[in-house]
Amino acid sequence: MRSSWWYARRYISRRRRLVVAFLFIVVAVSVFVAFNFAFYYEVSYRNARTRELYSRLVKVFFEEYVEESNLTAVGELDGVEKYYPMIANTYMAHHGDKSGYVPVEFCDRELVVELLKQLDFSLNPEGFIYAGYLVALKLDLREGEKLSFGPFSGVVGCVLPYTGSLLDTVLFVDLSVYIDYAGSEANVSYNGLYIFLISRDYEDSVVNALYERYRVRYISSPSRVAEWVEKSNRLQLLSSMFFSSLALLMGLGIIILMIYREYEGRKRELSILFALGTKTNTVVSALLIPLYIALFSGLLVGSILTFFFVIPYYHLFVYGYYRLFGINTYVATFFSVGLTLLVMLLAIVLVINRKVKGLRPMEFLRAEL
Amino acid sequence: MSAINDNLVRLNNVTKIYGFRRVLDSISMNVHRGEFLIVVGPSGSGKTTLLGIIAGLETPDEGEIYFEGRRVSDMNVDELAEYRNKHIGLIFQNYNLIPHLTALENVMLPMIIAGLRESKAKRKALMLLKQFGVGDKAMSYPNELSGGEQQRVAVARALANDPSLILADEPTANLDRENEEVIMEFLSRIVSEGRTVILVTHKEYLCDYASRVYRLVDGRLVEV
Repeated sequence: MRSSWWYARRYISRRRRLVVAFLFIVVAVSVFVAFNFAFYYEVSYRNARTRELYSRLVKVFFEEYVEESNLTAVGELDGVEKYYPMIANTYMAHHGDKSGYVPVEFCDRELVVELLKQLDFSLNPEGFIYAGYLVALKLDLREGEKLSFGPFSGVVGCVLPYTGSLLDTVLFVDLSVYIDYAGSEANVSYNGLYIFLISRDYEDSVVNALYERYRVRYISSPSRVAEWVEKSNRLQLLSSMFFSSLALLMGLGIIILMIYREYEGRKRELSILFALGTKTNTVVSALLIPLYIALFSGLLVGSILTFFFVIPYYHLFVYGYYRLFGINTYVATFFSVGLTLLVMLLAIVLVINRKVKGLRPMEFLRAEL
Repeated sequence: MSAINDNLVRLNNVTKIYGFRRVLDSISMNVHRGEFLIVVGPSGSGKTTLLGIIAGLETPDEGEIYFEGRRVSDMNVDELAEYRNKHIGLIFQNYNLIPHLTALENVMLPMIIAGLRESKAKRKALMLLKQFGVGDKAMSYPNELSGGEQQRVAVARALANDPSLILADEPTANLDRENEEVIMEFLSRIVSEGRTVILVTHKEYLCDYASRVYRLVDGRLVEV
């Protein structure tokens, strides 16, 4: 083993470009796979939290605006604990030099408190405008700063905590802001509802009743959200797996090709080593040590890049804003990429071992060749 | 010492066949300790194959090779490697130095393989390089050396582990007359120090250096 190290050290110092090329490929593959996994874990975490949010919640969007007096019947439905009417719209929001389309929901402040409670947050938001965490990040918003959206403007009373759910993407506005704009409460009608069920068992009956009584555009209910989440996770996983596998296969292909060319180019040198009395395992090790070093340091560099750059900054690439996300992604990515690279390494070791053992040194030591 | 004990290498009816061609045909010979044995023969007559078989780098199709009374074909792969490392020094026509190692490192290599400490290997390698007149080229890479210098480094490498047998395959074929003489003198000196040299060549005039000469014709060995 000592002689393998001695030999490999000299080889590496004189063939830096090749080792660096190996390293670069491994780093590129690690980072690409990390990016895919980071995105997948982000989506699946968000979906799990959204599912939690909707554990006994039904959100309804109507085809047209409905007056409040026509919504009181909802409260009388069997299984409804409470309901909150709301006006949902998408506006272009502006804050300083930042702007973007944001889903805005005008509603009672109590609804925001209740929604946060569903996700184990106990918070009593101040003011009239409550920005979801991701909305605040997207627009670089802080509490007390002015925000304008559509015909409205006001001061952000509260930036809601990061819940990991779809709640983070909504800008909640106290209904009083809309009433002021409309002139009077009498002029206000609603295009949506949040309904809290006593338990999930009442989901079907409430949903059916809503379809019977109102012109419903869309309903998000516990089972529908669960179904949607499952589908979304599956699609995201498939996409991540596909692109990761593609990257790994490409990386593997390039590395194998390089190793093959390297082996072909070093047959004579390996034959000399055999002629000088080097044992087969030592020859294989001398050949593999530079590769091990490149692969493991590539994995290490890839992991560091993943931890400090890919996971924190991939939001910047995907969504346009920065956010630090989870150790889960890092661990999962590290192990997925690490295991795959180890399997790859094992395959390479087996192939090289077979090749070296099958080498006929005299073919390369003869002067004629 | 008896004649049998003096036998360093013994070949017994060794045959090697490539395809339909018998490259070596029932070759038997004894090589004594301290001998300078030269095998002459034209290109393609099987000289290199003969050395490859003695070195355990090729296996004969028939027959046996004994080294110091031990049958080489009974050795496993690792024993063969150790046999080459400790007992055999190989010199080739095209030098076969490792291109990414310096002259010094090339000479150190067999000693490192044998498990010698780097510092000791370095000291001995430097001494050998000086002995063969290339001490000042220790840090040069093979491509920075002339053919004669490369072959001197190769001879130094062959002697690194003090082997009892040197196998030289056309060691002067690529050299000019002056360097050829130098290398042959070195080999004669090695023999005078008690080592055994088997040299194969197509150059008849080199036979003057030999203590015994064999001629290899059509795979058959004839003592001259």
